[in-house]
Amino acid sequence: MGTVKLSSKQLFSIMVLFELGSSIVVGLGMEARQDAWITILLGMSGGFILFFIYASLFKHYPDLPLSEYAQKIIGKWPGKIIAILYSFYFIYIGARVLRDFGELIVTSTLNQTPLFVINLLISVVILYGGLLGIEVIGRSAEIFFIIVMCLGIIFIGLILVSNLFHVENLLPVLEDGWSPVLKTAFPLVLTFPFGEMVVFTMLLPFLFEKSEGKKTGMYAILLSGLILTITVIFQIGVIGAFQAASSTFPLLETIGRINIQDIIQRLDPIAILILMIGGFIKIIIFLFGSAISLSTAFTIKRWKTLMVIITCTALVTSILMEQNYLEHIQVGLNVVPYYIHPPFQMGIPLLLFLVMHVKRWRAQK
Amino acid sequence: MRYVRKLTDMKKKKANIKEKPESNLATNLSVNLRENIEKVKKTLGGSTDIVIREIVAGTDGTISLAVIYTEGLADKNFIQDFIIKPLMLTIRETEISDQGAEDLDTKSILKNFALANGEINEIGDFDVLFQHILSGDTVILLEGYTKGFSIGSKGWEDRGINEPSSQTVIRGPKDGFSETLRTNTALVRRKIKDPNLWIETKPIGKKTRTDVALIYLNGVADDKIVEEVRQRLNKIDIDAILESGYIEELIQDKAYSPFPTIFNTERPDTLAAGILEGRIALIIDGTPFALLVPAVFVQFFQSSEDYYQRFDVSFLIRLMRFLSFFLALITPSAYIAVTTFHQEMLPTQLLISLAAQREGTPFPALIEALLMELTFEILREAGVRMPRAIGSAISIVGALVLGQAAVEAGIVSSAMIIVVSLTAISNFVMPAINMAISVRMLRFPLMFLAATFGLFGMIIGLIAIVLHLCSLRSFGVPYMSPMAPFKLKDQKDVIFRTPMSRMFTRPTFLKPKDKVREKHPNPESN
Repeated sequence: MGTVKLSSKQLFSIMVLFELGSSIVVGLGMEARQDAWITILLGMSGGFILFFIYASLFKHYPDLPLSEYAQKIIGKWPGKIIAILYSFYFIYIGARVLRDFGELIVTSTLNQTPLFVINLLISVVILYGGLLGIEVIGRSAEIFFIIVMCLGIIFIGLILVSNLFHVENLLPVLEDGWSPVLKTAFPLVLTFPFGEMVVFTMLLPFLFEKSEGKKTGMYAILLSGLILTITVIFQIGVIGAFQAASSTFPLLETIGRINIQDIIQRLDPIAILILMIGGFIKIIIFLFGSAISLSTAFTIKRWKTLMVIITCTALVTSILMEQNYLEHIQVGLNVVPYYIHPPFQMGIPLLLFLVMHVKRWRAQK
Repeated sequence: MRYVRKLTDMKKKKANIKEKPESNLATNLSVNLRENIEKVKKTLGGSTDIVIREIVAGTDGTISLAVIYTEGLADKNFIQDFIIKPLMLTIRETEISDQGAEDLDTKSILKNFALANGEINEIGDFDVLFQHILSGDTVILLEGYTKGFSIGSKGWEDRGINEPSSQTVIRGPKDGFSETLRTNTALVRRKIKDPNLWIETKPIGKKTRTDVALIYLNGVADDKIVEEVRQRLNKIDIDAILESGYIEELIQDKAYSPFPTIFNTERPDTLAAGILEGRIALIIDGTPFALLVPAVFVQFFQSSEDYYQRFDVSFLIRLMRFLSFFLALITPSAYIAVTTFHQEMLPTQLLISLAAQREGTPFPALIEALLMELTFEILREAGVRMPRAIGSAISIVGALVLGQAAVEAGIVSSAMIIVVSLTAISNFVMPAINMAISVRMLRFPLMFLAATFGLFGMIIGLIAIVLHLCSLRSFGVPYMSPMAPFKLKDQKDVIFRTPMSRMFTRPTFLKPKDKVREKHPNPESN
């Protein structure tokens, strides 16, 4: 693992695909109705602050993942406990994304297929990628990035050509004032997807040009934030705020509306293809984060065995975590952003950041 | 411990195998001519194509010697005129003492005054002797000396330089490699007249002793890659090399992959272009297919003609090749997925006509597709192996009997015939046949995935293919470069081909030592 290196372009592609991953599928910030796009911009600015903390920790320990510098900052055993907690957190979130995609496939195209079979198939590819290693994922991400961007631009073009976009759907802006917007942005949009960048504290040490880490992350957040904003604007503009909020997968519905001369129509299965790419990158990066956290904290050399165990755990968790999709969504909206994301995305990194600076300040004195 | 013991056992066994032939052949020549001849005869089992001509030469007939060569490999006229004639006649006619060489021995006299040949080597042991005889040289053994000569007299029947049968072009040179190594290296030399074009030759294969030439442009090719190729060639320990395919499989990075990681070509211009980019060429004696390493994915989509046509033409043609690659890969599976799972994607009119066609067919789309794809693969394979004279028969059987009759009998729908034909024709667009074959293979798992999971299964399969492609390396160079890792500078010759006047640098992913191809006309405006 020691010689594995990622270029900043590869990290950038991974980050953008990771951010878009599952967040582009579900209606992001739709609780704020037609102002969803403002919540995303707000969440993005929060994301910059969070990433600033991760990047400055990385700046002090450019060769270590969070699981290792936590040990240096707050002591050996507390650090190891944090590493274990993080690895469980990443597996859990990875499993959630896996469930999201399994449900997406089952609801949209394969109604008769059991969820387990779908998740198993995705897990097999993820395991294959996991065994090939992070460098291969970096290179694949570059290709996937090009594919996703090209198809995305084609879809936007098609929507514009089919004359589906209605600006008036976006009005009135800030109908109920700032409070619903802010409530949705913090913590919902901030923690998902922007706060999930915390997984890159485990991956940044693999970066070839260490000084590029912060810049790459910031640009990735900016680009993915803008893409998400545009997507949401298009969703609301095409199917209206009410339907976008009540639909399970508003993006698919939006793309399904495309109809050009009755020849190009119902492109939603193709849209799922693009979404699968992002979802794949997202799950695999979470599982990598978990594996790196465990392997560095406990110096586990057998990367492949670890990857197999982690992937299987994520697969089982994704099936057993909730009874049905409604419960899954409820937990995703009401539990995870309030009780699970904040300590890991903000609490622990902020704690480490403060303790590190206090220690430095003391040492200087 | 057990493993260590096993390993050492294996090493011992290997050493044993190596010692055997050496002890037999590495003996030195004897002083006695008769003894030497007997040994040659015995070792070769009295093979009938070995000619041993014993001559008594010299003015007084005191020098007895033997001329040994292999009939068919050596040039008979050359041996007659320039070896046997001087030995039998010239020496007898001229007084050697006239030339002021009294104190020289017979061996040097022969070498210096009798044998007017360009390539002459002294040989001391049987191992070298057999190598020379069996590669077409003529060996002369002398009574009273433990050294003989070998004279370069290679001259066998050659197919000559013909137009290559694979990778044909409309515009471009029409010469192709032949089976003789020297002819092939000469063809490359004729294209690149640079003193830095270095050719290293090394025999590989204990039994076949096939000459393998390693050709590269010194000062351009990356030393590390050259060294890597050299090392991998040195590691080969095999009895026979009959074609470049053997070398390809022995030195490739990953055996278990459907994709080729070594490029092969029959065309000297393609090989020369590769060498000029900083690649390393391997020409193997006995086959017109030369190898080029490191190979990257996009290289298999490039034809040498791309550079002879205007850039806009070749850009569009190249784009079409990538398109047909995807068509060949996914058409059948996409058809299966759409007709089975995603009928809503089809325009209503088309859906109705497809449904009407499929009404009478008894099989599900997957079985139908497999049936037709397999039939086509069988037809194609038959077309390759079968004698040319009955070639038209297969087209009648294939097109009329199987295609039309299958539709009329209601076994397959005619839409499926269109899909299969489109796939087949797209597959032939690929300039490199080995890449076309990998597409042929990958199509089937994708069809199964599409039949079980629809487009979702297809995308899972495609993601796995991309992951696999990205994991491949060819001699240290990532297989998907310059797309992953992405290099903007190298995009000038991937999907687009920029005009010649804009190709300033060699591809950087090959790490050439000399990057500049073409001087920038105006350095400031870069």
